[in-house]
Amino acid sequence: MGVALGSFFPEAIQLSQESYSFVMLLTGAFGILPDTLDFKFARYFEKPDYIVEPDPKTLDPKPIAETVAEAIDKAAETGKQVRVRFHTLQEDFDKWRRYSVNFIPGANEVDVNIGPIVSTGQAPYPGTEPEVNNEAKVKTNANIIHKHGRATKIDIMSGPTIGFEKEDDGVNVVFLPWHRQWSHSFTLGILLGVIGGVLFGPLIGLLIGLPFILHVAVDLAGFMGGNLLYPFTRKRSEGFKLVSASSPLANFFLIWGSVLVVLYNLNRFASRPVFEMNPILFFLLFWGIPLAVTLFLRTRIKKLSEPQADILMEGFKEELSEGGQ
Amino acid sequence: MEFNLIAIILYSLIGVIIASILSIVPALHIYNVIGVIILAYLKFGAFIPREVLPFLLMSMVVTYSILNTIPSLFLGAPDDSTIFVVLPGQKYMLYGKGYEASVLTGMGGLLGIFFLVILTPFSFTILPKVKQIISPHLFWILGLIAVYIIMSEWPKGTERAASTWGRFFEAWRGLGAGFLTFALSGFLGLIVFNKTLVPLQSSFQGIMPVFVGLFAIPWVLLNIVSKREIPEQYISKSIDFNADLAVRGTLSGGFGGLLAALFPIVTGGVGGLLAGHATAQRDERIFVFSQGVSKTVYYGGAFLFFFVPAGRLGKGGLVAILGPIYTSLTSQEYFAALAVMLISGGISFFLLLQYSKLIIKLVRKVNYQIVSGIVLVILYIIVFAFAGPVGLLIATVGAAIGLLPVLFGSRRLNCMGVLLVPITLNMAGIGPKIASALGII
Repeated sequence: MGVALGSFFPEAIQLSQESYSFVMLLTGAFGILPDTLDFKFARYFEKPDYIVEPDPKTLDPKPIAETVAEAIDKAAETGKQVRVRFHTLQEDFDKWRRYSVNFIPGANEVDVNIGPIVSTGQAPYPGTEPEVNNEAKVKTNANIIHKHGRATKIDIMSGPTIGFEKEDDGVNVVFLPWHRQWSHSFTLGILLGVIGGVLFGPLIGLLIGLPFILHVAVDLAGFMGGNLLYPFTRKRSEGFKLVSASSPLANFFLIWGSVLVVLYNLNRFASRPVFEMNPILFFLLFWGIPLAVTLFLRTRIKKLSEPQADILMEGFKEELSEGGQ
Repeated sequence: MEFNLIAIILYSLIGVIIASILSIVPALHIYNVIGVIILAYLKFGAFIPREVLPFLLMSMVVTYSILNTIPSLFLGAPDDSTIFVVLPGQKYMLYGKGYEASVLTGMGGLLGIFFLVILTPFSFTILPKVKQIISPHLFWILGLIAVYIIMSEWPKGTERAASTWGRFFEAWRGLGAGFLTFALSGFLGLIVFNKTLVPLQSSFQGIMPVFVGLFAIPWVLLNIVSKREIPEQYISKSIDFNADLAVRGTLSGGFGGLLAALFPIVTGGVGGLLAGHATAQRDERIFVFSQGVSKTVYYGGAFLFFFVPAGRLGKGGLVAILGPIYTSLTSQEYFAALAVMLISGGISFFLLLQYSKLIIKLVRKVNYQIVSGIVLVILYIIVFAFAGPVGLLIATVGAAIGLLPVLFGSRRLNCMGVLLVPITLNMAGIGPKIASALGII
């Protein structure tokens, strides 16, 4: 998307085309920089107050729930953010035991579930859920505020950290408290842009700063927002909850739209444009119609898939029980 | 051009038969064989009618794109376009489901051909225009792909080190190995592209030893050292897959393959990675399936677009060596090529099923270390046959670089620096300058 934004600058396109300049690389690099800063740097410098290391032998959900409940109450008592880091449970090189942590605000309960074994691709192995002692609920003294609203699944690689932060009417659950903080702020985007502008000129400044800021802005469409004006703001805002960051459809049409913008602009600013088309018609034709068709077909394909998937899974299970050939 | 449909079908079947044997030889890329066929055609005269030659080659390419899953999956000898299938494929093998992985990639291959069929109207109208628009910008687009490959690799690990810096270094060990792999591959690429290392008569095979070294040898060595045992494999009658996953996998792999088919040096693996990220696919089944789609669209599409009259869309070594001999003049030739794809794709899929069963029996009966040892010897024989003793040296250097991501758990795609670095720099007109500054030329 950073590249799409950069393509609106005719000077950048012409520099690329006529002088073989790599200025457009800046747009891509700075467009993904916020996540690079978080996932390659920031996450390693957080200090958790509690570490949850589930026992692979007992798979007991109760100690996990108790630790989390204790952290919530501690946050309420001290007024400081308390962080709990959850370690994963690796059972084999490609087998991980999934467990989930959920928060029930009304009942003020921490609900921990021990789930199935999953592959590194997060595909669950059917029939691997523990049949007994697979859930524990522990009450907290403090009111729980859970704006995210979804259970946190812990399964592969490194586990997440959840922070607990005291607010006026209770303790707020902060998923990945190290994520989308200073790295996802408009202020850092402006600062980087200004530095780039002072050192290399205004065009470079814009090609650095704007893609960074666009990344932060687009992230706001999801569930988790950003610490938009760090260091003037200290807390991460909430997202608009329009789409999930992991939605294949949203991701695809966002990227596809960006590709179309780049193509349209490369043509528009070329010395000899290859085509001429009204931009509204262009995007309606190549973005709007495919999106409408996809949405129309999506539900039908899903309906078609569900019973079929069940039948296939049954067949597969039968074959496994027969021992195959 | 006169059309003899019977001759086209006949030569397509011959192409399927030839490629079905060659495709299962580890490291033997179909382009290596096609290069030899075309050289022989030029030297010994038209022992194949000129008008059917492209269709013979098309059937070979399609058959290869579907059957090269076998050496990658079962013998652990991948190339640049199948590198992503190996790890999930070997996981399937460890659960006794190697056959299922093979069928999934084969089904992906078939859907890849249908993807190209659906794309036909765009091949004549839109894709030539797209290519025309992006051609002057290819160097920075390729540079952008390189930046994305490097920046989008996230650390892998369970982060259990006690200290902050311990966790940081644990994560950066893999990331650092990734950077180093990209840099060394790029340096190797600059050497290979700027020096005449392999004998002139086999210069069209110049990149082959590099690819064998970077992608195939490290895996085979790992298979030997890790003393991997292959458990009993099940020949399942049904596949755990459905229409929803098929559509998602086809779109993801189709667009990835299309990127690779249109852009120079973007291979099926790179295209698959970009499309996989763009569509946020996480399901392993989609991943394996989409890799099948991607490599058929990549290999088949890159050659199919060559048949678009005056479109100049095709890319790759095959198009480069066939270009001076053959030019597509009518849309009929495109549709004939498409028909050849469908026929050879269908036959190849059924061959894939049978070959997979056979190879499963083989790896079950013979010790996997012995199989891997034989594969390693075959790799070196093929490199020597095509590129001589210097080829062996290049392959060994490539293998040393290719071992880095295998040992440190970083992304193997970093090895694509071998193409991305020199070609991006050459397109920007600074390749020779940088090679000279590095003392290469």
